[in-house]
Amino acid sequence: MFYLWFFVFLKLFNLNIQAIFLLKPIDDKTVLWSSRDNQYLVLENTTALLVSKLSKGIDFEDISRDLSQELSLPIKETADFVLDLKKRFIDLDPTSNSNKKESFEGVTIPGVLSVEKFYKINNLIIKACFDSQEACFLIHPKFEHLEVAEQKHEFCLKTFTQNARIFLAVEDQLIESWPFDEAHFFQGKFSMQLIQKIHNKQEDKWLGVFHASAVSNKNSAMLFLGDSGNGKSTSLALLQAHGFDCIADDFVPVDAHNQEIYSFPAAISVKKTSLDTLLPFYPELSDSKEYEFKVAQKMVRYLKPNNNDFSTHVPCKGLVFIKYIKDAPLSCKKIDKVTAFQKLVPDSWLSPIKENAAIFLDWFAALDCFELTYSNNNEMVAQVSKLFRDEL
Amino acid sequence: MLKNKENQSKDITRKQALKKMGTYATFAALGTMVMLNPLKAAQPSPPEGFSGGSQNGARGVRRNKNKK
Repeated sequence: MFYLWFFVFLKLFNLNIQAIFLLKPIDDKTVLWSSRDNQYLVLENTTALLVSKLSKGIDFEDISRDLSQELSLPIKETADFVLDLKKRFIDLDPTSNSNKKESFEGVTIPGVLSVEKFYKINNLIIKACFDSQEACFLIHPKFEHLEVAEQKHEFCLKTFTQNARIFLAVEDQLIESWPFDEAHFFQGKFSMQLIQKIHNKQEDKWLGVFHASAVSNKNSAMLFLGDSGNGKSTSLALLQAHGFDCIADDFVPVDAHNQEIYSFPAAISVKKTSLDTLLPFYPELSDSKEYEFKVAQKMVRYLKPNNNDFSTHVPCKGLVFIKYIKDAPLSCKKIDKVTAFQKLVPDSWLSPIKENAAIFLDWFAALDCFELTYSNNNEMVAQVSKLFRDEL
Repeated sequence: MLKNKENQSKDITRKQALKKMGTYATFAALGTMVMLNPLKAAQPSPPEGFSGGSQNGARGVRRNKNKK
């Protein structure tokens, strides 16, 4: 009797420790999402089928035998392979995915901070306080166009340093802290807090945030992706000078419920190397403030987005991997989704919630992905217009 | 003589060898997978750096329209 209960307990325990994962066919491969570390894997379809069988509790020896017969290989070899898949995807340590909540013991939120800024986003007044000019410069340059005089505010974000860490508090509630060399995560969290307030959606309602530029023709939007220096922001500025709307630059949030691209109110960053290209369209850039980021050794100016309605959200029409190459002829072609997926995922924040990961995979699978290489700006603008009209 | 016959029976034809190689190539391909880790948190790019408030970090310079 004892053994029977022990067996039942083991079975139940095994069910609990089984990994949570999703499988989605994309082109000729299958993408597997694993709840452990929110990881995506691109697999051969046969491998994905084996993992699926293992997850359904089919005995690994049966699976190995079938594979051995199918491939005419010795069962020892297929069994080793199937066992490896079982260890990797099914028998996971349940403690490996534990997210410890940060302890803020001994941390006190300062009452008054030396730098105060007020921003107006739609009808929302936001107060942002910083304990140094340097901390202020991590945020302020991108939002300077939204600055207003001191007034009654809806909520307050406080940024301060203690114990060699940078802290973010919202409405006197500590949110998170980071070591100084991870200040970019602080910037990301600050932006997350803004989109939560602007669009009234908590973090679990977002599918992901993409490192891209979002351009809209008012009905839908295209996401422009690519490594830094490939011209994402410059092409966004050029496209907005030719009648398109800027939805977001650098930080593009997508909603999990409707999978639409939501506006983010940051200004477009313009590097020194893009000034000559953009000055004919934006003469105001010649007089705009130039920010010198000493640590990153770069000079940047900020261009106000032409879209003032920061509640805007539109469906995504496609992904464009853009590349500026000097003297290159214009080239625009559809690319396979597996390649696009491999470029997209490592550069994006994707919700670790299973339901959102499933929606992300469905959303991505339905998108068209393009690669656009250009050197001539007019040709690039004409080509993007064509993409919006479904003409490749 | 007997030994020679045994060796002959273990030989396979070129066609069989190619088939076997194809099978192993298929099997090896099954184990090929690409792991992709999304960013742990949303972040802008590229990082601008932070020294903890002891420096100005960034300096904003207003350009004069009349000066080149």
